[in-house]
Amino acid sequence: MLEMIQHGVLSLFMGFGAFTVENGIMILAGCGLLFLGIKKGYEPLLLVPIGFGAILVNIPLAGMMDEGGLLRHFYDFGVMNEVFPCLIFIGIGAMTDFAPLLENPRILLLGAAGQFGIFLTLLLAMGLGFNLLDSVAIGIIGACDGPTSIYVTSKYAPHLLGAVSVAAYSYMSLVPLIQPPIMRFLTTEKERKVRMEYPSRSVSRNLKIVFPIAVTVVTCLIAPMGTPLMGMLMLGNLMKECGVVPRLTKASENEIANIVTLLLGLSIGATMDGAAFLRGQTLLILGLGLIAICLDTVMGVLFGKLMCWLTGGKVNPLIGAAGISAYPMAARVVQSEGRRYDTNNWLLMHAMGANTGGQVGSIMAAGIMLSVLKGLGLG
Amino acid sequence: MDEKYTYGLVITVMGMGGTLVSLWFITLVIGFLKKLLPYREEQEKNGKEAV
Repeated sequence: MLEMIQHGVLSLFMGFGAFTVENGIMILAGCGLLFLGIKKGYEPLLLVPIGFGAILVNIPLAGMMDEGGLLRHFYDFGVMNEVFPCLIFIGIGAMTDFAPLLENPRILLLGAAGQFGIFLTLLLAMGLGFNLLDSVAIGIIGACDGPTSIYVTSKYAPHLLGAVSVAAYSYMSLVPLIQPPIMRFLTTEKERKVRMEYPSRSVSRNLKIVFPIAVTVVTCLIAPMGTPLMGMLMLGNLMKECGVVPRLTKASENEIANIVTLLLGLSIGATMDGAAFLRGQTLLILGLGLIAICLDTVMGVLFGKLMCWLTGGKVNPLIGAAGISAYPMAARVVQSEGRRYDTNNWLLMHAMGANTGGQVGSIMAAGIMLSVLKGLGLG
Repeated sequence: MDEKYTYGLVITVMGMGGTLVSLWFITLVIGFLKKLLPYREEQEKNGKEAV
């Protein structure tokens, strides 16, 4: 009997015996993400489940990501099958107001310039020795759009999912720190003080209803591989604008988005197993992700300067920085930068337009990239 | 040139150009839709344009 008790006691502490240094480091990293989410308020909805998922998956012998493990079920169902990113997009669509973009459609082009960082980073990653599909996954961090990054990475480089999604969500939350120095560096004080005419209200309800349908058809015909993402975004927006399915809209905005965010966060955290995550490659990916978002901002602001020049000074180049997908954070950054130099300069509506353009642009860029890869026989 | 870089350059050129042209095309579509479905203040207030 004594022997049995001895075995029983030993089995209670088996986890300590199997605990590795990598596990310890990753549990600390998980705590770091929890700290950023809880204490600093950086994307808490995602960083809290990601951080906790990272802790859970690094408990030895718990088998959370083994075949049949709890987190493995979430991961296989939601991430590997690309269900979670698409469901998240329904919620995003239901929360997005495209009216500022419809008021001034030309600022949609800023949403294209804001994606150039994706492709420049792709080349940079290839130059650093990553293969083509890994480079695509790394470049997509520049979409500044978590669900899009996860969708593309789970398709082409699932082994990089942890690093790519942590980079995407971390940098999204750091947009207010990353963008302003670049915006100041690339613009003159005179340009930053450019006031833009406040758009008159000119968008009919019918236009708001037809817009998601038209965009879905046009963009999905151009890049069919982006249909799951664009289709879900526009479905969410159509439900919001048509006003006849308030229950579905509210569910998309709240229950569906919240449940999927929780499970997606846990699934991403579950990819942060110490043995797989703690490699030099991960640091390189985090560095390249930062470069991608910086390049997006650079290209957006430069395109804004071009539009400023072409319109004879009617466009404030700062709004180019909002041509990324981090909505509505990037627009708020533009507004606060504009007001820093002219307290009566109200750029928010224009920046919101560019920001929603960035959302459409990031999905379009991903869809085009996936379609071209498929066309080349690589997808 | 290494085939890998050729693929990379093709994706970059197609991606940047394709995104820009696609979004430009959407601006044209929006412009067309704005003409087709103009904003009329009175109708909006009365909710007559509801589909």
